[in-house]
Amino acid sequence: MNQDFSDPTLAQLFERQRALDLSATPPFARLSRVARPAPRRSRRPTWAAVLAAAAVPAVAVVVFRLQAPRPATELPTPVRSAAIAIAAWEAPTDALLPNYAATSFAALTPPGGSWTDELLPSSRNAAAQ
Amino acid sequence: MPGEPLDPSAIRSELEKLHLASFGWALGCCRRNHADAEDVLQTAYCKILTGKARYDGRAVFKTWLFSVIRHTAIDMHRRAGFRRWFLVDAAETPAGSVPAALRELSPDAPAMQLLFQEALDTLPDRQREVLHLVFYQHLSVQQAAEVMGVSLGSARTHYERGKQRLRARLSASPLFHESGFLRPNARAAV
Repeated sequence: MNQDFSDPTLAQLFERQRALDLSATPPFARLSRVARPAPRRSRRPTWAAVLAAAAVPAVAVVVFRLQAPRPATELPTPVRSAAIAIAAWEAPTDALLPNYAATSFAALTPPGGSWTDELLPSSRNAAAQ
Repeated sequence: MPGEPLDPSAIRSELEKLHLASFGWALGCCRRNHADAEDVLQTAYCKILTGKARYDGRAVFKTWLFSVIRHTAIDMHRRAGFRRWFLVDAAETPAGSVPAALRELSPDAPAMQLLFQEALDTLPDRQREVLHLVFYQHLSVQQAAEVMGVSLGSARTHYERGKQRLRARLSASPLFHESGFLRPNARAAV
């Protein structure tokens, strides 16, 4: 069916349109007036503009609220008890830590001495005897 | 014509010679809205006569003029889009539900022509423009490409696709077949 609208047919339709337009063309002198006073038309904002103006502060408030630090809230009971249990936990070896030096090094010979010193009669030992 | 700039009086005389074609092109750029076309053409003339748009002689005057008109129409269309969203023109009369093409044609225009314009309006801008420039303004596809600021290959593609789409739209309308427009004797009378 498209073969009906060949290029000459389309050209004919455009020519008819052109003929209709010619009668409605405004005179050149009217359109070529350079110093034409620009018609000032009164304008009022549309609903879109009003809504946009109202949306700006609303969005700003929402953004501000999202970025503000949140106040501390009470933890739920299971979480709280778990937190306390973790904080109170002690390792089994913790008991050794305060006396570690005492238990490990007390039996050792002090620096500069020998373990045989205890076998010899010292002046202190003799005085004691 | 290409190759030499024109003095103001010669430009004015060229504008006057091309006025009918320019208005047709302005109508094509404004989707057949007469008031918009007048505004566009007046603004384009104003740009040219005040030296805001300068003809440097590199192109044919007609293609340069059509290019100025096209850019003016695009610019005005953008501004109108902004106004439509953010401002109501108090002086503007409310547009009815009648399509622009039907409003702007004279009442005695044949219904077939209205359908043709409606079919043309459904085409994408580039396709509509290239068809107008070739069939209505009798420009070559190369000149149409210069006016539209696209490559020749691109203009050819728009031209072929535009014709295909327009033919498909027109073929879908039974009125064209009932009106006898496509009868062989009617075509021979062209």
